Amino acid sequence: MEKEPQIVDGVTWVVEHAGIRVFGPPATSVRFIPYPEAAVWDFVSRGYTPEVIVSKLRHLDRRLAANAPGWVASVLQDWSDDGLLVGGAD
Amino acid sequence: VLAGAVRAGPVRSGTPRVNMGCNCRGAADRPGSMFVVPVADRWLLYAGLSGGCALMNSAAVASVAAGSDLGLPGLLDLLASESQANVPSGPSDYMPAFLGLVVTRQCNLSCEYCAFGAASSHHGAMDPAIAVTAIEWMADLARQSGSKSLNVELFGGEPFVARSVVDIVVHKARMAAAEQGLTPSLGAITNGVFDKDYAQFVGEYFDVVTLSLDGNASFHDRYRHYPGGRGSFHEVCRTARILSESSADLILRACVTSENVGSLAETAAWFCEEFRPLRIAFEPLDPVSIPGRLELRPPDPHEFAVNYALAQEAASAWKVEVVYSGTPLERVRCASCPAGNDGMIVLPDGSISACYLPEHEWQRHGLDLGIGTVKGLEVDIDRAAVVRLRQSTQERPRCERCFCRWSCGGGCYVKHSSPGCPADYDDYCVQTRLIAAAQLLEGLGESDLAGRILTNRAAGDALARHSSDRLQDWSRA
Repeated sequence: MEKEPQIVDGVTWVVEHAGIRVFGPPATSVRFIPYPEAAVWDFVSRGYTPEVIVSKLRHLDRRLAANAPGWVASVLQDWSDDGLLVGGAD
Repeated sequence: VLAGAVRAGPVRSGTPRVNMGCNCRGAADRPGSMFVVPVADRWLLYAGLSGGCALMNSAAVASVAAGSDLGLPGLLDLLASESQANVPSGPSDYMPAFLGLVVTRQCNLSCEYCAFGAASSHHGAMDPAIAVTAIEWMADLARQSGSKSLNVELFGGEPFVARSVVDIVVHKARMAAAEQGLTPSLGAITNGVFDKDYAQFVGEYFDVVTLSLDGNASFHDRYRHYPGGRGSFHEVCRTARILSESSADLILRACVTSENVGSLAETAAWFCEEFRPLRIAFEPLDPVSIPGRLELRPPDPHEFAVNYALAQEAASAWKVEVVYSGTPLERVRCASCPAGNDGMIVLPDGSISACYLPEHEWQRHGLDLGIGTVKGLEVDIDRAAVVRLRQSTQERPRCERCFCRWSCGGGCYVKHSSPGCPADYDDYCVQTRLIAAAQLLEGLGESDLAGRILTNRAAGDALARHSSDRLQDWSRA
């Protein structure tokens, strides 16, 4: 897979206090992404590499610190599988 | 006895709204809450705690000072309400209204009047671990105290030059709030000099953004420019437009000098036409003299007051509120700045202060506003320092005789009302007193009289320099 994951064209989202509400695909599909995954979504949307995302997650959630690379890769893979992302972690 | 009309205005309704953490406990002597100020040939009686007011002649004031209610229902109600109003008391435990994070002292601009030490700052950005520990601590405290929200405010320097820390703060605040069942509220004070994409991010993730914009391009670029001298007007306007379209509440803040004070109404109207501010804040320049910079002067306080009133009128067509830090008459407060309100401001090195000004500013006034540190996973608050600060911020000799005592809150504790400051009213007091009196008169439907104290220098001076407003001092007036 490519290094930098990108959100698929046509997927839109709204920032809410407790997470992110994502619309599509397909257009009628709506899902809510809670924290800490919501932080990953923001970082992906702003073009951060998986390495940078892992580094930020280590700060954000100490419980994830030891397993941050695996956790981020898993989140990105799930979103890729669901058609939300192209590219992603190795 | 009554040679003129007595008109009583509405008493402030409900429980006085006080900033959480207001530490007024035991600060007031009740006789000091009724005031009377000269307005042209009449007097404005003002109940400082309940907020009611009445306009009367001197004979009527003398009667009231002697204990009479003149048999007038409105006045009777006003006096009764004041006698029942409580001096606001804060919580006994330390409970800051918000967590302030000075994420960096560095800045991408070099503004003419900036005394925040950005140019000379040797500190880099805050370690994100400090921010995380402080946010977790604050969220826990907010939940324990029964608060419904987690309030985090970013200060600088320019906070948005420390983007790696801001990323952590934004998401950690939301995570911590969600975990504790709180609503996150994020605020920032910014110069707005960043690219379009970042402005979108700020607009999506911040609830309130206070953006500095000093008026038209001519004024703004003269005051707020890059280190090389190039003005920042274009970038700031772009950011203001993006924030106007976002979910964030936009507050446009202009620094007022002797040069731009005459154009406040024009500036307010332009802000309203061009952007969508929730509020416009006009704050007079602090007297500063920075070597090598323009010799900028604060506005004349009378000029500020009259132009402020014109700006309010101009913005009212758009239903936009114009504010100035000295005159929120709708609430009672004993202090207007974090130093007097259990402030918790974490500095880039992890030290905690009650004030967001650079350490050297408060040290220069002989103050120690340090109240703790953030280290590792621990927040250490020096309770003795908090108690000491609560006590010292109550001692404001300059405020004791002033009718704005319970609304103004004394301005900046460091620069305006620190221990040992002169008891005489200064320019900040003068403009605050004029604006407050004009607003009270407007509330009584006395617009002509309000206009007179703002535009007639002698009438304005008599009000602004009145030696003591306390009703108990009436016989000596």
